[in-house]
Amino acid sequence: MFLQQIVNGITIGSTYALVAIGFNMIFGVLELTNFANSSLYMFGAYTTFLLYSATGITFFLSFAISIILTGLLGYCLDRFALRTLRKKHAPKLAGLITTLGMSMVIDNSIMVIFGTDSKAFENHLDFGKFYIGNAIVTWTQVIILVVACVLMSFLSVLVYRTKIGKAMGAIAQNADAAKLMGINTNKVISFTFIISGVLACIAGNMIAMNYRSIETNMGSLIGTKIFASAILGGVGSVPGAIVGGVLLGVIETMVSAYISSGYRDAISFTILIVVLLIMPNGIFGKKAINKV
Amino acid sequence: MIEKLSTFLVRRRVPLLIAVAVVAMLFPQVITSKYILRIAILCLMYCMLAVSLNLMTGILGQMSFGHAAFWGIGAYTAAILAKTYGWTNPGVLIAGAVVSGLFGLVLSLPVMHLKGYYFTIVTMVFCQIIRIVEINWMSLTNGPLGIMSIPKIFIFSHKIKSQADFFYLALILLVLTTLIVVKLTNSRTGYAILAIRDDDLAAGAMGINVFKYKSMTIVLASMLAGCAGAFYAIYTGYIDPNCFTNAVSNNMLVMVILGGLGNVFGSFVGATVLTILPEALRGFSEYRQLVFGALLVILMLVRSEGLFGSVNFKYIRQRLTLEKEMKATGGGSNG
Amino acid sequence: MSLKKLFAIVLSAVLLCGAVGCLAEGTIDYNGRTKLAMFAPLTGDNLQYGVKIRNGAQLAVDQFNAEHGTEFTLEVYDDKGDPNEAVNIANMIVSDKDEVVAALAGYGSSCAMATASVFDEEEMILIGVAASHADLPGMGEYVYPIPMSQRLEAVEFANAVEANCGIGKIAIVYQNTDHGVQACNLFKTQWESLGGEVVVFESFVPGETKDFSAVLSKVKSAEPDILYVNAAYNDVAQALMQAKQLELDCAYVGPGMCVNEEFLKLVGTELDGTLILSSTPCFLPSVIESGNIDEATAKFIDEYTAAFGETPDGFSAQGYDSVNIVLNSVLAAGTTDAAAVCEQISAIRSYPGLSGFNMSYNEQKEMNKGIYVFEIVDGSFNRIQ
Repeated sequence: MFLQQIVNGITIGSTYALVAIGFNMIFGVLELTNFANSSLYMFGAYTTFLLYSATGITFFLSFAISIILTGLLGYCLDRFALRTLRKKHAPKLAGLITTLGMSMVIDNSIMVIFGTDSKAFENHLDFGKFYIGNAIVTWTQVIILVVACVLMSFLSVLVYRTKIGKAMGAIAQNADAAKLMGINTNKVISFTFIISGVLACIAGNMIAMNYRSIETNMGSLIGTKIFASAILGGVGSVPGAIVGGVLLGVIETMVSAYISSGYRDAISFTILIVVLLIMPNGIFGKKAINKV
Repeated sequence: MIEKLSTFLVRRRVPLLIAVAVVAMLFPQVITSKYILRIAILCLMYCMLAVSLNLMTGILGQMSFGHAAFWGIGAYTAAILAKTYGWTNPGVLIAGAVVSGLFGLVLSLPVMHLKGYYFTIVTMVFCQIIRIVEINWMSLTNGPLGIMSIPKIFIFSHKIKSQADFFYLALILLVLTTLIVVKLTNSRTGYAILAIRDDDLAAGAMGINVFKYKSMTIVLASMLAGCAGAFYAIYTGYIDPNCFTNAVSNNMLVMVILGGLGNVFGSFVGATVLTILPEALRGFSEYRQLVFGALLVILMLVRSEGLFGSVNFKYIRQRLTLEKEMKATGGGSNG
Repeated sequence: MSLKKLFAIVLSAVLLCGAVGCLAEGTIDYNGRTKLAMFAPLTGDNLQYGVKIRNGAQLAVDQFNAEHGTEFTLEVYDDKGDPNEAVNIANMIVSDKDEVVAALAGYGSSCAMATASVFDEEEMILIGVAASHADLPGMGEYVYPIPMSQRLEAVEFANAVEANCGIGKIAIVYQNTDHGVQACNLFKTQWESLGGEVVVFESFVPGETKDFSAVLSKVKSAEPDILYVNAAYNDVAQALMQAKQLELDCAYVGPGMCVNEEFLKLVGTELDGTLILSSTPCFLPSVIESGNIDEATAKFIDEYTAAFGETPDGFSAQGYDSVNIVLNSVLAAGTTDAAAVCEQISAIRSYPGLSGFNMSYNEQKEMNKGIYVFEIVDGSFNRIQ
């Protein structure tokens, strides 16, 4: 059973990791807790569902269109709300409340349009299963983990090796100074939002396929988990999101299997707090330098 | 507009305060609709919660996404004491505050060196942990079935049971909360807390015991929230863990930010608006939450520091006195 | 000759009934009350149930008015499924109690129970449309549930599982809500008194996850004969499909919440052979085609579908029955006075309702019904008991 539980844990963890990557990127660049991230995740899955079931185009085409649309929604979020706030030099909290409000608008629009009942979502990545010892692993689970790792490598290269990545880093450190250095901050931030929208959409669809269903609480379901994964791995760190997510998934599963499934989240979150006490900046977090 | 309003409020503060006091005293006598009274009582309670959260978030500068946890702890303490142990005196309010304060202390100790977002996430997670314990600990909290028919309390052998009674009780609690918070911010301790908010390292270097003041403030804020929770439990007579979710915490934080961080009067406005607004939007039915979210976004875009966030009443007051004095002295020299 | 006599008797009987009917209808003492006030979730995660209940109730009110020439109206408020908001609304409703005949608590036991004291204080009738909590009927003199009381239902369910799968080792996974906790504890007691063994008894917090693999792996290693998952339909679908994926080899049993179209869409034909226990009947087209339903139900389905463009489910039927139980009792009592109406409601035995058969209130005002057992065959429900 232990081996099976490890597999279960890694699967749950990689779903957290998938969503956490995009969230962590925005966190790293803007120091903004993006509440709308989990709404984008849901939006992505529902858009694919709508396109696929209503228009009769192939699944992967709907998926592609949905990625574009979700990226666009991410862009709109920044362009029409957050950019205005930046222009006014509004406090960071205003951004947070704005994303909270946006998330309510998106979630409730979806609820009104689709209703709250669960929808069946076909698994197009169903390539059967195989055994490791007596543990059962499906190929969908493997694909999710692989996709998470691929996206992480891609983003790591983007953030740490490219020019636009350097610009993101500069904005994270000091947006005003970055602007003075000739960086088009608005463009870079918009780009970050588009990427995070795309990531959220991919995550939403992959996870929908794994569980073969979508529902309107899928965003709130995963909300706290993404925050926790990001914090555990280290805020703003791209590899941290993966490690944090998988670790959280494994902890959760172990708690649920060997202690109590009712107290699952309570215990795994307590472990999270304890980890933070030992490593206040998360596992991959950079040590913050305090200046007076 | 807000600036003008604020100046007006400060200039006419004495007659306004008297007017508010009179209206508040007469309110439950004139209004007989149970519904309106209930909303009014909830407004008072949320004001209390918003003020206590403002102490933690606006004045100490530690953003909390888990204030509902303290509210819930207070409510459960009062409910269990009243129901299981037959306490029917105002002691339940104090007990709710004390137990909640203890949890505040427990939370504040480990998170003291966590900064900014880490603290925020810990509070969010704390709220979840508390809720899950409330759901699972059947023998103590009756789990998801909730605690029903919580007995009403007696104050000086008068049973608090009508809506009017509860209105006055809530009013007294709110006034006490406000006095405590306002007195605190205007004291030496308050200045130390403000210094910590602006820069805790610098404050520490100046000889302020950062650890002591931080934990003290968090404990006080959680005590006030716990007291509000105890009030809620005896007022509604029914609580279950779903009353104290993260969504409720978020809602309280929105109240504070909407009103303006660090501004106690703003918290009143924020709490009142956010309690009445969802009721007022009832007509929108399915679209209610959607409209609510949209309004939130628009408000932040128009006035991003919250309604009264940029208003400093103390400063306005000083300015007004100064203007008066200048007028007086100016008149004197002419004459 | 005898035929003529018979005809005369029948004719006079009909006339008499008509006259009595007219009399009864003519003499309803409204006291100015014509409103039924309902609160149900119209936003939030439980919106789907609220809408079904509302539609069912609305249909019942319209039909009743058309049939009896009355002018009852239904007013619906949104409580988001949140007991706190429900109490707000309850206070709003009792504020105009001079117009309200009865209050209908839509979805969930907690909303009904939170508001029970408010209505009881004002001596207003409260109907728990979907509140099966065993303690609800005791919370006030004027409180009546429509679904089967959990105390009775859980016992019947355990008996039904025993009858269909035999007694043996059972693993129970349930949602940690008021409904789940009560239903499963009662079920467990009954199962053990039947001589069975409960090998896994685990709860989960709904809305926290939809991955049940951890707890199911645990179930698998306990090697049960039966897996009983008690939760909302989407969680049951998820849990049972994951159990299949983990090659958990035993009989699967689900609760009545699964009897809807969405459940079938989610599971396809994957869960064939699963037993579903329910105290409300099934309104799905596939079941209807198999002819296993009575005329009244068929009529209800047609009219509901015509009015709202969707098929009804157990919740719609409960909404429909609640309204009819109240209004028929008002008609029988000839007044909207709460005490008189309650006397009529309490007297209900073997009520021909749509949300179950043999609907009766017992001495404690608990609803008792017969139960249905469905087996999933070819991705559809097949009634076997």
